[in-house]
Amino acid sequence: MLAGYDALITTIALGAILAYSFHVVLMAGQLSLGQAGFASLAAYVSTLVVPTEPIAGSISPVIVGLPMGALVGAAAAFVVGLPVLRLRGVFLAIATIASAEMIRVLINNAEWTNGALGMRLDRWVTFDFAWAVVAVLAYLFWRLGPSRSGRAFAAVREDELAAGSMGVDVARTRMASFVASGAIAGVYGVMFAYFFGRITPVSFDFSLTVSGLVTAVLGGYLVFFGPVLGAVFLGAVPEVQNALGLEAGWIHPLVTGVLLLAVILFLPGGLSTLFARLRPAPARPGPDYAPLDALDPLPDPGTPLASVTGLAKSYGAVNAVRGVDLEIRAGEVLGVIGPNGAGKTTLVNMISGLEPPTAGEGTVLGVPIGSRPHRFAQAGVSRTFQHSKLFERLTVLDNVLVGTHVVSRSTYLRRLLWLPSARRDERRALALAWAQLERVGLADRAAARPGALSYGDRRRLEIARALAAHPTLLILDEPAAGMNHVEALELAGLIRGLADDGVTVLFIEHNVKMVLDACTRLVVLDFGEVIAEGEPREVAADPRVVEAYLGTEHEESEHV
Amino acid sequence: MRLKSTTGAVLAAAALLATGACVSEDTNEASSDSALSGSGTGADCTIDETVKIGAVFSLTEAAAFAGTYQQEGLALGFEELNAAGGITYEVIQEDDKTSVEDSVAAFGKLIDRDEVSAIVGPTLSNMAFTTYTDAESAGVPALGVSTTAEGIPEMGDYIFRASLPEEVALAASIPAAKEALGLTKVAVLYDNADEFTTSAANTIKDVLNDENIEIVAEETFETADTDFAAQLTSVLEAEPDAVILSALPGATVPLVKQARNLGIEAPIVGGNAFNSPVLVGALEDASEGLIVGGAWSAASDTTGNAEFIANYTEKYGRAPDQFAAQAYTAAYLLDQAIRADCDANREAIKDNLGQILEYDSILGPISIDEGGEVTQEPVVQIVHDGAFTLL
Repeated sequence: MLAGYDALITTIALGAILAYSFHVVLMAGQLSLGQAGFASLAAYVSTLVVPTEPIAGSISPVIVGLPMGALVGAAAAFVVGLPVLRLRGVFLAIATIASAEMIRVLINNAEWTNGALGMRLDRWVTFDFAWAVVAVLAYLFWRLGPSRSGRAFAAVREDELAAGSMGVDVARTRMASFVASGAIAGVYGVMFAYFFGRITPVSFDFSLTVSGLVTAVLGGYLVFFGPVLGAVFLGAVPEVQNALGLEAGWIHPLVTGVLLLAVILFLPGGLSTLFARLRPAPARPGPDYAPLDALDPLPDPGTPLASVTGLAKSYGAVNAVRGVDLEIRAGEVLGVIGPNGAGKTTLVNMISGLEPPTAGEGTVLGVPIGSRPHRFAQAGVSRTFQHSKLFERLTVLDNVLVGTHVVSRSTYLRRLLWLPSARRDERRALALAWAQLERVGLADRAAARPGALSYGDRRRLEIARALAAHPTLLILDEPAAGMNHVEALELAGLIRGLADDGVTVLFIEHNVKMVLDACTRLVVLDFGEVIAEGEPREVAADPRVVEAYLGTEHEESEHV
Repeated sequence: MRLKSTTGAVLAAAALLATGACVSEDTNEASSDSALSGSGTGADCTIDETVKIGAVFSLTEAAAFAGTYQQEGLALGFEELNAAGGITYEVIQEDDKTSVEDSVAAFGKLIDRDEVSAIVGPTLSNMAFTTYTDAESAGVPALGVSTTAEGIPEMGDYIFRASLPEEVALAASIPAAKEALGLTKVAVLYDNADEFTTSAANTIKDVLNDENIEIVAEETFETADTDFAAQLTSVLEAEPDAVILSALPGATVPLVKQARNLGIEAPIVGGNAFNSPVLVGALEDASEGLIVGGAWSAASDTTGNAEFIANYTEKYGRAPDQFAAQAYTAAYLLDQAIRADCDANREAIKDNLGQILEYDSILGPISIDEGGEVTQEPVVQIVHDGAFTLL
């Protein structure tokens, strides 16, 4: 039945493998296009190690080439990644394309590769072998999706800043996706070489990059089987046209192009959008889970958590923050207020690692000021943003699950082997996330996307995500902005409840009434300096504060 | 995270090892269909069943400049043969889109689904190196009409070609140019990113060596280059008697034009890829004095050539080139092989295609030996006033 189709079926499998090498970088939001170079390097190097006779009588000798190809591809990606992964977006794309071109020129001019004349090899790759490789890749990505690492990839793709603040090591995650992409491209290179039996430097030119990228995007990179869908679609369309009796020639590429355009326009998540409804709705975990079990106890009230001195930040001639000394003790609810532009957000950005200070020093939960954000997050600092930074393409529940990153263990490898402990860990993370959703009152929206939430709900979701990290110090940047009075009141209650649970809270707010209700201590900033500090009601009565913060005109109606 | 992903890759490899994908044994079974063998011999041969011939050419993308001519030439050939009667041919035409993937898929389709008696093509040697292994293991005779690279006929018993190898074309055009122009020192320019042109450049250097012609400049460029000022300047400084060029049509046009603009007056000598009226048209005045070695010339008075040119031009509205002429000849060669035993089965075609001796074609007398290699007299032409004339 397959007679006459096996070449086609094998090329579809190869297309899927190539697309997976793009899938893995797109999953992490990286537009990296150097795969053709890694594939070609791996293909050529593998010819040095693959034996010319079947192993043990019947095993395809390519079995030796695959790990070699993966290794070469991964190593090349690592070396290229060190310099180019500082770049993002279109700049990363250009740099990676340049790296592929460099590899092509190198191979074209090397002696051992036989230059442009290329190499002829035995054709050892059969269609069952190719599909076995696709099956393994699909399995790897299937198990990756709902694991801690898979969520880290998605978080980096959606918002690097928020991902870092949730404890995801952004640089390492990007490098991991880049190296994995190199390894898969390497496997593709070897498969290519031993299926077509012939490689020339031109085999791995820019058109290969384009076809891999198109297949990956067409299939969709939000589900694990996207590349297979894309490859089958692109492979089947010309065949269907033949079956329908359409003449070959220019009509075929035209029809394929029109279909491609239709998919991109009407199915933004690629063909996999058609299968989106198959995802089960998230359900409340069973009652047998006590989610806060086995979480580290929070420090006793009064323990010093953070201490910074002389903290300053200037942007050119503008001094956003000037010489701020600050001490935070466990159990406090510390409010930071000040007029717009007083430097409040800059201050919390520095103590959560988002911005390095220009002067000053200190530690937050033992992490020196100036470290990268994920270090603070891992130490127990969790935060929200003035303009909420949610992972827009993840569900509400998945947003909160990313928050559990720092308090859960990596599950990917154990998931591959179906170890029960991985399942336990995932269910624990789920229970923890669900508990936070219930805490902020969003449990009934678990399956929605953030875009479908009201403004107030989005702020609550961000708080739930921050809480899922089981933070010692929770930083809230204007959490009540955009909330009505009732919602703000509820929020103040929530914050006091957190303090009762032992969470230390630092929050920036304009709503003075809420600040007075919730805070145990108040710091007032003006023009980047601390102008008052102490018990909230005393501070609020301080004439300097009234002048600086409220101005001479009493605009209290807006804030109270 | 990195650790996890790399360990994942190791696991993947381990899983693959466990599956132990095996190499299947290729069976070379010769199936024979009695309906494909007829009665009578030679010109009187009659076969009842339609004989299916597969054709794989690059009709779109990079090599379409050749593939479309080949498709037309082959179709014209079989049309004339069908009109002659006795045997009815059906050409099943596939487009390989100038890609190896599609070429392999097309061969798979023709061999197993359409069950053709023989295959003509593909356009490029690069693809033939992959697809001919499939034809060989399936036992389907494959006849190349533009696969000029070294080593193609050696790929197997079922592999033949009616396309003059590049080294033969060059080995004729260089001595002819030497004799006509008195060459003593030349410059060699070639595309070192393309397999065909690199292979030809190696041949060129060997021939020059045999002819005791000195190479005073050797420059390379890449297929997609458009600016050749650096290479041409050093060619100009070397003051060669002639420039030997090995390039694909895409680079040839800008290169020759830039050479003439830069003041390189020396004649330019090229191989098979030059032999196209389209190329001469695109070059306009710059084509004057180009010396081209090839398998066919519109100016030759070989048997049926004038008729072929007239019929082709009438049918397709453009003049044929070498690609069309060779594909047209392939139709007649296959017909010869089938009529020899009046048998259109794959085995019979394979046996008889290797026996063709001095068949009188529009390319001149042409022979194919048992090894699959073609023998014919190359023609050397020079462009005068925008037309090819024999040198």
